Amino acid sequence: MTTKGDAVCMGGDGWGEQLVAYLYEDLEAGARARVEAHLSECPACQSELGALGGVRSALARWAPPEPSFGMIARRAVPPPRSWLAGLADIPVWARTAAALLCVGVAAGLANLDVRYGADGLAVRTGWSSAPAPAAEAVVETPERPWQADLAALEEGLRIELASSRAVAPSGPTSGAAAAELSGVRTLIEESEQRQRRELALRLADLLRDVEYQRRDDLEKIDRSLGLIQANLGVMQNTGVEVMRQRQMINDLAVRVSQR
Amino acid sequence: MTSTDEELVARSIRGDADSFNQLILRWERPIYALAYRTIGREEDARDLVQETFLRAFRALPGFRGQAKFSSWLYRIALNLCRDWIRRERRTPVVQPPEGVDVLDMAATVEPSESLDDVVARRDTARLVEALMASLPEEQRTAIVLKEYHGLTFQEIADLVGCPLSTVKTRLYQGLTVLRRELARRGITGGLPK
Repeated sequence: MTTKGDAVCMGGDGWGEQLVAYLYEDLEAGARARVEAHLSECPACQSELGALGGVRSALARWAPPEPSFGMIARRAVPPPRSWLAGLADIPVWARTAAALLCVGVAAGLANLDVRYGADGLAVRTGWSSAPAPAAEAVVETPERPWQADLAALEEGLRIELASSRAVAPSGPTSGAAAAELSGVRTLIEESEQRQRRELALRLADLLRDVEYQRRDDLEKIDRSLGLIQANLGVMQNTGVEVMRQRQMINDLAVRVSQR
Repeated sequence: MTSTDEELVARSIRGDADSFNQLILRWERPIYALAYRTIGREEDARDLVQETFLRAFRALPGFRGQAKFSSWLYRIALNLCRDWIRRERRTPVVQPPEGVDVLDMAATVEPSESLDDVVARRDTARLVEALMASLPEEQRTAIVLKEYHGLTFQEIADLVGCPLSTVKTRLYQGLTVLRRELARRGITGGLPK
């Protein structure tokens, strides 16, 4: 800033830095006074300062789009989980039991009737009374070469089972077996209790997740309502302003016509 | 009574999640604005805000208060912005709003068109957004931190790790480019209402 010629002012060492610091009022007093002294006698620099001020005005018009920060603010708390994610945590035994229950209920509703007799495998559904054997929906195999083998196997199993029953309960051995059985039962009961507790915990988790989601939704609704109200407020203010201006114009028109 | 950032940070370090939540609520918008103006993509800017707070949360035990919390947060966000720009391998970017091509704008503006006509056709804000995207990253960052976040030159210098005079030069150069480009499009000095 040693020369007053415009070209030198614009490109002089450090002048741009001084000017921009002055523009943002981030300049110490001494330097500020020097810049002001120069500006008072240099129209080119005054013009540049004005133009840079115009750029700042333009910059002020650029605002980022309104973000939605609902989930950001809640990062610190556990995020809500979906129902499916919750189901994945349920133990296999519980899921299997539920599936079997569903199948049972469905079979009951459908009145499923499965029979296996000398005339083959018969499956019937529906609530109608059983039709005559001739009209019955029967899936029958015309030839049953395996049936004799199956009957023989069944008979063999029966004999084996009967013989084991006859041998098993005798004297002190049966007492030990009973104790063992009792122990196993206790273990099973404990396991069931533990699983029931786990299930209860999972359910509590699930309910908490639902609650988080509900609060989240409510907050979103609140925010949206707030925006709508703000917009309405602006519209009302605009309306009031328009009315006021109309009133002024009317007053002016009256005065002009009176003259 | 509102707690200061430093108080909230101290409580967060001791494990108070609510205090950290308050810090998030206090700073998420400025960080989002910084990210959006730097990378120009709304969705990515939101992701970047989340990542910023996540990193801040993880690094909180190591925060010794040598800088203001906000400066520390800005630094994390700026580093993430730079990573994003490198990863995307492109100039930061503003999704050009439909129909706005910055380079073609000067050509499409008729000489006889008045300032009002230009502004009527093109939103100044969108033009600024697009022009900012065309600036080199250093200049854009300097303008964003000074113009929109009101940081002092010294704070910006500390944040981006360069001499004070460099920050001023970058800012001056950036503003000069914007001034020239705005002037080419018929926008100079005072802006249309």
